[in-house]
Amino acid sequence: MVKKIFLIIVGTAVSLLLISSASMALTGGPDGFGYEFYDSSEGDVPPFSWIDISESGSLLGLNDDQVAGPIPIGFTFKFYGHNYTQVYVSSNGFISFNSGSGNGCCSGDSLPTPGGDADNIIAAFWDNLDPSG
Amino acid sequence: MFIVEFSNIPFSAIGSIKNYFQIILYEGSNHILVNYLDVTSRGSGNTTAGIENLNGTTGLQYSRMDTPGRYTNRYVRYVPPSENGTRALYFPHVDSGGNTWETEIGVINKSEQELNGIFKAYNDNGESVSSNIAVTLPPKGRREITIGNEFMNPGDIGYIIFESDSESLAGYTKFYQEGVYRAAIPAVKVVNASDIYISHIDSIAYWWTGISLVNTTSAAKELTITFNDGRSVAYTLNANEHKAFTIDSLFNDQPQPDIKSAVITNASGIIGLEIFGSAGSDNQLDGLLLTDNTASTIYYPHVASDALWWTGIVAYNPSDSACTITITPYSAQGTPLLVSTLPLAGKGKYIGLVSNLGLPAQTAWFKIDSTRPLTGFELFSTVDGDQLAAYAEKSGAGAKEGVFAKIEKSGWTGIAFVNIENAPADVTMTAYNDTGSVIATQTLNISSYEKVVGMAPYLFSQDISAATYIGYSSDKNLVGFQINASSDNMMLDALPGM
Repeated sequence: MVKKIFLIIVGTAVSLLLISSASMALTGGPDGFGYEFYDSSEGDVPPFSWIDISESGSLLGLNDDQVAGPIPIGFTFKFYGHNYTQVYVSSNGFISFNSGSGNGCCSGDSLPTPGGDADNIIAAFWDNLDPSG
Repeated sequence: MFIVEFSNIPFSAIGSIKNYFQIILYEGSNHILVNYLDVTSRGSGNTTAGIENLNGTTGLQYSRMDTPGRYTNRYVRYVPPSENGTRALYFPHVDSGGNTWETEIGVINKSEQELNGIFKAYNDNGESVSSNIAVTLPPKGRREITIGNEFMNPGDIGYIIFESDSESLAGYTKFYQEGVYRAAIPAVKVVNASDIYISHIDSIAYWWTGISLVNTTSAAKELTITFNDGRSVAYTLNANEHKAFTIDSLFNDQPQPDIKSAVITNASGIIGLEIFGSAGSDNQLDGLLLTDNTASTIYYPHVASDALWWTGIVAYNPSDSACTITITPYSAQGTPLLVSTLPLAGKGKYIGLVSNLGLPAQTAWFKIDSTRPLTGFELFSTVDGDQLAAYAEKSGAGAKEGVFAKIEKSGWTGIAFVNIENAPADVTMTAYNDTGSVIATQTLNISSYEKVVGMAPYLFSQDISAATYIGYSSDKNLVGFQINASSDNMMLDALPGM
């Protein structure tokens, strides 16, 4: 079973202020549980592939500093040893498995931070984002 | 899989900058992939990327985002530990213990640290069979096992998992009929997390195609195999089950000449391979891993078309939408030759013998760039129909280090690789024995887009007869593979640099 969620905001053309940083391989971990990460600048990994869900996804329609959820995952996902079947989506660029998760306004915590603005999270790009902007 | 996408999202105070990224959760493997199509980090103290546990007591921070800047077309993958804290390397098909087939597996420790691991054998139902084999590999060490010689009850084994304390390793499986044919497949480090592409199927009178699949998850998987002609087959793999079948067996054992490719959906947690074999009196056989990998550039790093050899190639567009492919051939010295551009339909293939593709006569290798992601591979065969080798590059981007995993002792090993970057490459090749001792080293300076090809011993100025495999490192990305042949010129196989 596949569940897809789609957030889309219609906006104007973007004027980018910053330029690309250097591209070097990066790996990290393991953390205290054993998670590791690697990124796509490492040579021996599959290439980047964006998955287009612009037609198949469902729009959440989040506004500034909001959390949507619970949203069913469609299967059991194990995260740090716990099984979850639903997530909460913050407009500030992360998802949490905690019910009642904070929205994380207005900047990302260092990770890990016990008792931070939000815990039990996957922070893709945690910052002061505003989908309604 | 489950996807949360953030599209066209501005900062609260900087509305002109928009960010595009997505979080993907994978069933079975529990991997987390974060795709960054286009984001602009404000840096440490503002932008954070990473994961954190229930109470915030442990986690990982993806430090790339700590540096302000724009990041495009990249991803970070968060990988959980296996249930017992070890890393798994899969050998997804074993055939041993009968009178005809035998299987050899090999593991190479690519790191400078000692590696400890255990080979565990499973039957087709995913039940543990035979006895485990514990292995300690010294730095750069290698272990090769013939299943029928070292495992109890080899005939019961369907697949093998090597559990170890290291991520820095590579492996392979070779299954063969002595004096007839042999197939070689890289061991699987990364379990498929989405749809699997079967780039090529031949189910006709002369060729047969076999599929072998393993469900690495602890739940049954309901797969759908959808073929290029629109037909589909539902296929169930129980938890940890291994199954092998031929394409024609899905259709009352009748050849299916209209079937040329397929996509396996709901395949998260599934690994496998496909085998091409010839029927009749010929003895061609080799295989490819089945993966969810696609790439916008496919490399074909060697072409052999002469009185003894033919080379066939496939580039497959798994999308429903058409794309445009650009074929760039190069001479052996790296000179770009006449470029051609072609349309490729959705689910279409660019396929043929290299000798019939109209490439310039000086073509030593070529690449195909595409406006949509492709899969692809090469086949090398002798014209006498006795030998076949299949090769597919795994990343679409080459690598700066790797191993050619086995030097043939009673036959020959040929190696071909190209520098895929537009600058000279400094390459160091090192020949090792199984204990990790250096037998010989050789440095090479390779021009941009130049190809190196030769028999393994002749790539070194020193004697490498005591070596069992070759490692390489480079300051530029390389794409290449090895071909191994038996001394009777019957068993042939290919493996990519790993």
